[in-house]
Amino acid sequence: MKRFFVKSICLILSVGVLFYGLILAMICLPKPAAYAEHYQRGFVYQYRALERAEGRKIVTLGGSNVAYNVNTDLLGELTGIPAYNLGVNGSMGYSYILDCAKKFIGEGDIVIYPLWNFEKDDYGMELIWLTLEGESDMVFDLIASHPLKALSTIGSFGLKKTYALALGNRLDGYSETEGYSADAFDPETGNYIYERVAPTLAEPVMESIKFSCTRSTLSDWCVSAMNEFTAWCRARGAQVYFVFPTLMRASVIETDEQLRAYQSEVEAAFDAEFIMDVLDACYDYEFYFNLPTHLNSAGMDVYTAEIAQGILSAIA
Amino acid sequence: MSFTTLSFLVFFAVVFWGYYLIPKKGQWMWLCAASVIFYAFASLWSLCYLFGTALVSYGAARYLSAQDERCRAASEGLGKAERSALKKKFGKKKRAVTAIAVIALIGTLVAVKYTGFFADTLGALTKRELSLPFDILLPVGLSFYLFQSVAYLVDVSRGNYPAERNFFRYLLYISYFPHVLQGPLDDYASVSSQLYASREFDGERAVRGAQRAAWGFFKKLVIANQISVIVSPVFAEGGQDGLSTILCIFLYSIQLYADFSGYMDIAIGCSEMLGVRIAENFRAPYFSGSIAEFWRRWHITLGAWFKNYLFYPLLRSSGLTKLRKALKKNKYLSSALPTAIALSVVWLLIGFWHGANWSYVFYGIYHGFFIVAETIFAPLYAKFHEKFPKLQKNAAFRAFRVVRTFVLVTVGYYLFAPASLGVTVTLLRDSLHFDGGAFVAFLTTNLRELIVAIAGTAALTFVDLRSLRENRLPVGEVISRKQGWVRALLYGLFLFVILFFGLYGSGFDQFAYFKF
Amino acid sequence: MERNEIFEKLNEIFRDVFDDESLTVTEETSAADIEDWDSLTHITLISEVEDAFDMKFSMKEVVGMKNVGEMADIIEREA
Repeated sequence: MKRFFVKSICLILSVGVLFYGLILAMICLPKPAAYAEHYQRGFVYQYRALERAEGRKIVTLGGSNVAYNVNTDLLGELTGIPAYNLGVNGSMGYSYILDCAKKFIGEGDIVIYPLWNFEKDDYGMELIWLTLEGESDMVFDLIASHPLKALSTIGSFGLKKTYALALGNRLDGYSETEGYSADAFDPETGNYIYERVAPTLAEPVMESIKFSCTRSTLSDWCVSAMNEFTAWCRARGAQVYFVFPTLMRASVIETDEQLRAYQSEVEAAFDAEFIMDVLDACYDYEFYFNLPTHLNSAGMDVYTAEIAQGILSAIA
Repeated sequence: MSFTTLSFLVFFAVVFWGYYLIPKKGQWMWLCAASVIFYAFASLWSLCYLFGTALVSYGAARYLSAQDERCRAASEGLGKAERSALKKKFGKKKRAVTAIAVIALIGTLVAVKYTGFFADTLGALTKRELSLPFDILLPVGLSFYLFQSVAYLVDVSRGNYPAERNFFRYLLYISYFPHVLQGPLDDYASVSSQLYASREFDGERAVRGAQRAAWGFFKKLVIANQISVIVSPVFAEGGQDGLSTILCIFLYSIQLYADFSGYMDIAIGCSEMLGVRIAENFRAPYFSGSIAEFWRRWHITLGAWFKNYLFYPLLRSSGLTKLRKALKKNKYLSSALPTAIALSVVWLLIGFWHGANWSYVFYGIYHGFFIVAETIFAPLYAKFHEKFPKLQKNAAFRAFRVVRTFVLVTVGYYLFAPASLGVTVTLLRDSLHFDGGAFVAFLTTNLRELIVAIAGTAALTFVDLRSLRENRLPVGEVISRKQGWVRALLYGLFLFVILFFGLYGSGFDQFAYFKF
Repeated sequence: MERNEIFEKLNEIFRDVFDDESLTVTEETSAADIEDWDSLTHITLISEVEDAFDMKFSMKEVVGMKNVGEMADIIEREA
């Protein structure tokens, strides 16, 4: 029996070591040409920009509701404090975004969070691996912080990359749509600089995509997690301010009165200060791009100015 | 705890090593404790159902055996006629208790599984809102271990074997972790002596078991999970073109088989490593020549259960016996009609067993239709084969029958896969709408999964074909005969293939029959 | 009843149920030996035998009997 034990342990361990060694090597090697210009590269630009950042800064956390809508160049200009976005696609998982954010937040920083719901353990592992491919330090950070989750999800990456290399094929989620590639971002700052002139959907179509803003759309987990995060930041001398994510007014089901009530409820639930009124984040059709949550370039500047105003009032 | 999770692997490693390290007298107790813990992990609140089922069937069986004892004791020295009369008297009591216990058990299953369904259906029929205000959750594995306990109870009432005296031994039989959640439905007589025996470590047996379990992991992680990535979105709503939809249904055939039989392989393999041989549930089902043969090769123990505890009792019931006698003049009718009636009932219930959903009921009816048709048209088939006697032995004819059966079974999955009649109709409509461009796009999008699925299916077909020929060594044996380092290399390679081509992690650890 | 009488009668029944005049059963004949003897015809067979010998098999016997020899044993006991 001892022989069986020893032999099986040796077999399993050696296969495991070889396999995970191979996968780690594959994921640390740069993205192949077939999908090197994937849109998610924008997240890496943002991350690297934050690594280089020195001194006091503004950091906006979220998904596409941050990338499309916050012009960090403009925000920095208007407030006099350098600004950075951290977030390109909400499917990466807000839990992961918050994990990354904690690396960069320190004394004097200002964290801006457009209020968005997320559930416990919100990690979009597939998208994360796709993004982190070629960035070995980020890969190892993730494995060190969540070893079980990382190891159980990284396995299928080997097949995906081999396939992409062998057949020159795109990875899942790669899009040929305009604005959905790496060159839509400024490599130095991670700012989404792709020129969006006008809405790409007709007005009735946009309007038919409905959103509801009520207290019940926010999970208890989200409330407690964000309050914890706020406390964490404050303990390090940083401030957390909440804003409302932009939504096309016609897409929101609730009336103005109901929205104001919603605002009071969330202001009571969350510890962080709200520096924007919900109605000031809801604009007309002309400012939007391909979804009622994504602004075009003109809208982006309006919303950014709104945030800048909020920050200036708050820190005055 | 799903089989394809790291936690199960750790759990099993502990159970396996502990089993052979502890004193032999305690081995069955170790298994019992491990099984209860396993079930608790699968679902803590369901434990009361597990214990309840065990208590009711154990208690009723003990009572029945006690009655048998009393009957035997009272019959000492009596004549044949008096013995008969005494047997009848005790028989009445036994039948009553058996009936009550079986009704209580099956009734629990029906209540938990189907109340919501009945309420909804009644509501739809009477155009009233009759849905239950709450959801009754189905305890995990109830459909399986409850059936197993009913089988045990009825066997004891038939006198096949005496009731188990030790409650915890009986509990082990019901809760044994390899079969508690999805079967196989094991026969008490064949499995209990193995479960309670003490055993030494058997290296060869452990290797065979590990090979079997690894093969199950391959089927589930590499074949079934990769296919599910392709087909699940299509079965959620439909909307694909004809060729893609048809391809998905065929892929689903493979997926369901790889998933369910893969689970069985892991269960059988793990049990084999513990020295307990549990029942086979699959025997290369897609190589069947007829639907009836298919159900003797697919989910074998379920078919056997229904045959033993529903079909036979139905056929021998007074109602159908009277019918048979009444039709005695016509030899064909007197056997075909009662059989057809009994089969229809059985297949309707098999459909129901799969779930509280009209899709499954129609699935049962679909298969039942072909099986009843075989009985009804038996004389026609006999005449046909008289005319063409060479056909039966003809390999091409056999191949035709196998392909025909596979297609029929696959078409049945239009009902089974989406589990909602609305989507079934959508899929059927989609299948008629041809669009070459869309099909090529579908293939391209899913090319990666398709390549793995097809390669895996080829391996699966090869292994199943081999198993059909009794004089061929199973693949595992062939490998075991190689030299040490060749074996290590082959095993290592196989494990690597599973890790590299498999999909695992949360979202991939549910098995298809878990919800039944 | 004598054993060979039982087998004579059984032969008649088997020939009738399976529609084969050349069929002859022995002690060892089992379902594996007769092509059409499956679970469906088994019950028909059992019913015919019960009618012919005016006796009833128990469920345990119906399911458990392995060959015609065992069937004959039960008939000897019960008839």
